[in-house]
Amino acid sequence: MAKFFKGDAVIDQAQNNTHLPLDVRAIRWLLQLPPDIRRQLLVAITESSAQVQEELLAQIKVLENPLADDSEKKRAYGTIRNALGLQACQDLLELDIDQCEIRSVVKESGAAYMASGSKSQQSVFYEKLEILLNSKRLTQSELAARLGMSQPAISQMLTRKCRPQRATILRIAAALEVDPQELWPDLEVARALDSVASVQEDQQLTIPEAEAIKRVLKGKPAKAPARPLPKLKG
Amino acid sequence: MTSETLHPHQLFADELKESDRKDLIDFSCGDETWSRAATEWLIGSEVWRSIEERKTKVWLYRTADGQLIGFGSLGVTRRRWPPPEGGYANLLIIPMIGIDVRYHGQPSDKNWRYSHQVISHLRYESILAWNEHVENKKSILPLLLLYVHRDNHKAIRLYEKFGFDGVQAASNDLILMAQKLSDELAL
Repeated sequence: MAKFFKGDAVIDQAQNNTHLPLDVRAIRWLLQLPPDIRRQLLVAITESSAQVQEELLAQIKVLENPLADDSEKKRAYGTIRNALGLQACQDLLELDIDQCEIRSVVKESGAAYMASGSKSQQSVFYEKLEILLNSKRLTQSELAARLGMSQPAISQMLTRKCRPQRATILRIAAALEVDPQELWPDLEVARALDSVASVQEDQQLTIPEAEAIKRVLKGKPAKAPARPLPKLKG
Repeated sequence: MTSETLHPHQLFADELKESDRKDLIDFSCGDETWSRAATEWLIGSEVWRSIEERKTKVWLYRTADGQLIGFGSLGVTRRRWPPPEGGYANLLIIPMIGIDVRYHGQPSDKNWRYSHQVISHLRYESILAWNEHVENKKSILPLLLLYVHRDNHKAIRLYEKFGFDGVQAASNDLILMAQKLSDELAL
């Protein structure tokens, strides 16, 4: 686990605690929290009785479940708050679950990205799209019809052959009536990747770009190191 | 070069292969928007799309003990030259580049700074690629381009140090930087 969550000794400790069966969903949810709150929460959980731990982890699973609705999540937050309130632990007085809730729901892009660990956002997108299609009992053809796209295009997306553009993510989210960040947590990154893909495409230079490039071409070649590097493998 | 003569901070460059995917699990360029985009570009499908569709070359940079430090890429894009009516000319471009956040600013010895080794290597490869295009009589401008986020000041300073000029704020918060390539390698 240290490979994924390097530097977070508390999580390592929790993982090594046989009485604290943190599963992937629980870890993912915990990682969404601000580090200070996450640590406090983990300490509180590890110091709780087995019964309270079980209840807390069950509620965390609700929070991480993409199919849980807002009222279920609200109840889960309330249960966590109450369960931790039962513990006579001074640290918990500073634990602001409401703040966690706000930050978690807002899904601040960086934190949400980190929450997905080293998994690409693209793979998270495909997983969530499949879950949403199943939960809404929609076929690929029906989604395609809602989007005005072809079924093969949707199929290709689901077989992970291409990254959806930001605009496509927004259209799919609208078609499925979900928050776009449920599908792709970090829309800023989606936009940045669109830009990178775009600059590799054939295109016209703008007038200022063309003027600037003319200047560079008229100037002298850059004088900077240009060195080969050896190969490590074969 | 034998292992006895290698500097401890010497980087090695190997072209990205499918079998490298397992080494990317732990890779992260950091939390800034551009860093997250660089990470996603490498660990998602964009890197493979760029390789397949744009013939981009991508290198992984490792230390002698195999630790993954970063990645760099070199591809070709096309722009009308002279604009707006000229034919399409090839231009070399660095589509994406990234250093794992754990190695930012390392090592302290600037002569062996990882980011410097990576840029220097990409400049070397770009000169080779340019010469290859010229030998094959393909229309290519002696330029190396890259786009950088306008708020990524550290990267901008680094690129300037390696001969890039910021030429124009492009769309989407990006600055186009370019440098003229020499047909001689400044080793």
